[in-house]
Amino acid sequence: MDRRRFLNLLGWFASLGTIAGISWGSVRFMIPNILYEPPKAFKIGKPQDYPEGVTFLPEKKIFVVRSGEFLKVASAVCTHMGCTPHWVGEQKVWECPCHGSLFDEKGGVVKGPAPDPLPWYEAKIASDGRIFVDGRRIVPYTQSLTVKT
Amino acid sequence: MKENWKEALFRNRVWKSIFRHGFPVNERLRSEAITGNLFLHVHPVKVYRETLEFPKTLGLGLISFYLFVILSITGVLLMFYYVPHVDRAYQDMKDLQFVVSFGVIIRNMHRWSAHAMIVVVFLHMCRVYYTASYREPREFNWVLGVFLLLLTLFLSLTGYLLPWDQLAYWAITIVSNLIGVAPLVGKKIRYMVLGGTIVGQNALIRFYVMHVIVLPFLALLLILVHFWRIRKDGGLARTDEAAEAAEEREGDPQGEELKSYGLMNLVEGKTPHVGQDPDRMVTAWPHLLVREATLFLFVMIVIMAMSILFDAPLEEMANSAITPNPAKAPWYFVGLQELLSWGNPIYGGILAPTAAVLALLFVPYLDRGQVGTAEWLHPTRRRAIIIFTVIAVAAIVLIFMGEYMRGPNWHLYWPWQKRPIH
Repeated sequence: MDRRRFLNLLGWFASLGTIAGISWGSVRFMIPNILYEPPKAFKIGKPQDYPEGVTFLPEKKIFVVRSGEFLKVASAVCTHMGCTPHWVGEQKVWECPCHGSLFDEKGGVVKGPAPDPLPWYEAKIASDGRIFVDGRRIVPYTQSLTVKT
Repeated sequence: MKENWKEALFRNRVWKSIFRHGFPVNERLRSEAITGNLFLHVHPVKVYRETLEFPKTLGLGLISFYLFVILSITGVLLMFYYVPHVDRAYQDMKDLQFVVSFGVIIRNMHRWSAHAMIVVVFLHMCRVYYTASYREPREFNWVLGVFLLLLTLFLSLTGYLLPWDQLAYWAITIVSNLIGVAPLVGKKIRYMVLGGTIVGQNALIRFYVMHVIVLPFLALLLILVHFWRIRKDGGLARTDEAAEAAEEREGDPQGEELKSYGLMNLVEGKTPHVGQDPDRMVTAWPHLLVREATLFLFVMIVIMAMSILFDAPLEEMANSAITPNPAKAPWYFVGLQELLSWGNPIYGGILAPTAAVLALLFVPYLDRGQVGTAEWLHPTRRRAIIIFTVIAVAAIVLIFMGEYMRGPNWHLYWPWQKRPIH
C-alpha cells in the first residue's frame, strides 16, 4: 500500500460514505415519527348506552355487541380489503358488501374471500364509568366485559 | 488476481449495455464519454485551458447552479411535510424543526442555500462585469443573466412567506404595499399578486405555487438556455478571442464564430482546429469535470456546515394584529425599503429599481470596447468599473443600513447601539 493507493482509497471511502450518509438521511427523513391520525385506543359511552344486540359506531369503525350482561367490541373492518361489513340480524352474520364475505356472530369467517376472522378488541371500564376500547390489543372471543345493569 | 472484482463489475453485459465505451484512457474515449452521455454532452469535448483557471471566474456561475440544485432537492423533500394552508403551515414548520428526522438540517440547507444563491448570483454578475465577459457575442447571455437574477430574488421572496411566521407575514405585507405604490397599475398588480387585498390564504397558496412550480420551471428554462449560449458563444470569454476572431475573418471567407470543432459533414467551410495551438485546449474529461466535481464538493461542505451550525429563524406564528416594530422586508429587499423611507415612495420603490434593471440590461449594448475582455479590471475600462462599483456598493450600503441601523419606528441607530426595550 503506497501513498497514492492509500489516498485513493481514502477518497473513495469518503465520497461513497458521504453519498451513503446523505441518501440514508433523506430516506429516514421520509419516515414520519409522529402521526396525527385518530388514536387506536379511545373511550366510548357507558355500557348502559348500548342496547342488546349489535350497535355500529361508524366514526370508530367498531361494533359494540351486547348479549345480556356481556359486552364485546369487534372491528368493523373486513379482513379482506378493508370495507365495512353490516350486521344482518335475520341470518346472524356480518355481510361485507364489497366481495360478499360473511362473518358469524363470533367473527369467524363463514364464507367469502376474507382470509381471517373479525378481530375483537379489548374493552375495559374506565374510572369515569365509560368503556375504554383498545384497538391495539386483540382478545379472544371468549373474553367479555361483564356489565351490571 | 486482485483485479478480478473490477472485471466482474465493469466487464459484464449489464454495465457495458449502459456505458458503451470503456473508461476514457485515450483522446477518442474521452471524446466519446462526453458526446455519448446525455448529461455530460452539455460540455464541449475540448475546452480552452485559459477558461479553466479558477481566478478568472471563481466558479461563481457553477456555484449558483449547484445551489439551485441543492434548493430543488431539499425543496422537494420539504414538500412532503409542508401544507400551504394558514391553519397548517406554521405547525408543519414546527414539525420539520422538532419532529421530522433531519428536518431541521434539510430546512436549514434550503434557507442558507437560498440566501447564499442571492449573494453568489450577485457576485457572479460582478465578475462578468469586471471581466467584460458580456461583450460580443455574449450580450444576450448577460441579458438572460439579469432575468435569472430577478427570478432568484422572486424565488426567495415567494419562499419567504411560506413559514407563515411573523417574519414572513410582515415582510410580505411590506413588499406587497411597496408593489401597491406603483402608479396606475400598482393596486391592481398587488390584488393579483395577493389574490385579494390582504396577506391571507389566497396569498399563501399563490406564493406556494409560484415558488414550487412556476418560478423554478422558468429558472430552469433560462439556466438551460444560459448554458446553451455558453456553448454557442464558443465557451467562456477568453483574452485572445477578439484577436483570434479577426484572424479567422481574414483567413476564412465566411468569417463566422469560433468553435473548437465543427459539424464537418454538414456545414461547408468549417474545419476543426487541427494543428493550431493544440496546447491551448484540453479535454473536458477529466480537466473540466474534475474541477466541477471539486467545486460541488466545496459547496456541499459549506452548506452542510452552515446547516449543522446555524438554525434558520422561526418566529411566532403570523398574527395580523401584532406588527413587529420595526417590520422589515427580507434582507435582499431591505435596501429598497431603506430607499423608500427617504422620500416619495415612487422614487425609491419604483423608479430606482426599474432604472437599475434597465441599466443592467443595456450594459452589453453600450460597451463596444474590444480591449480587456476576460481580464479583471482592465485599466481602459476605468470609468465603467467605477460607475458599476459605486452603484453596487451603494446597494450594499443600503442593505446594511436597513438591516443593522434601523430600529423601532425606523429610527437610525448605530449597529452597536442598544435599541429601546418595548
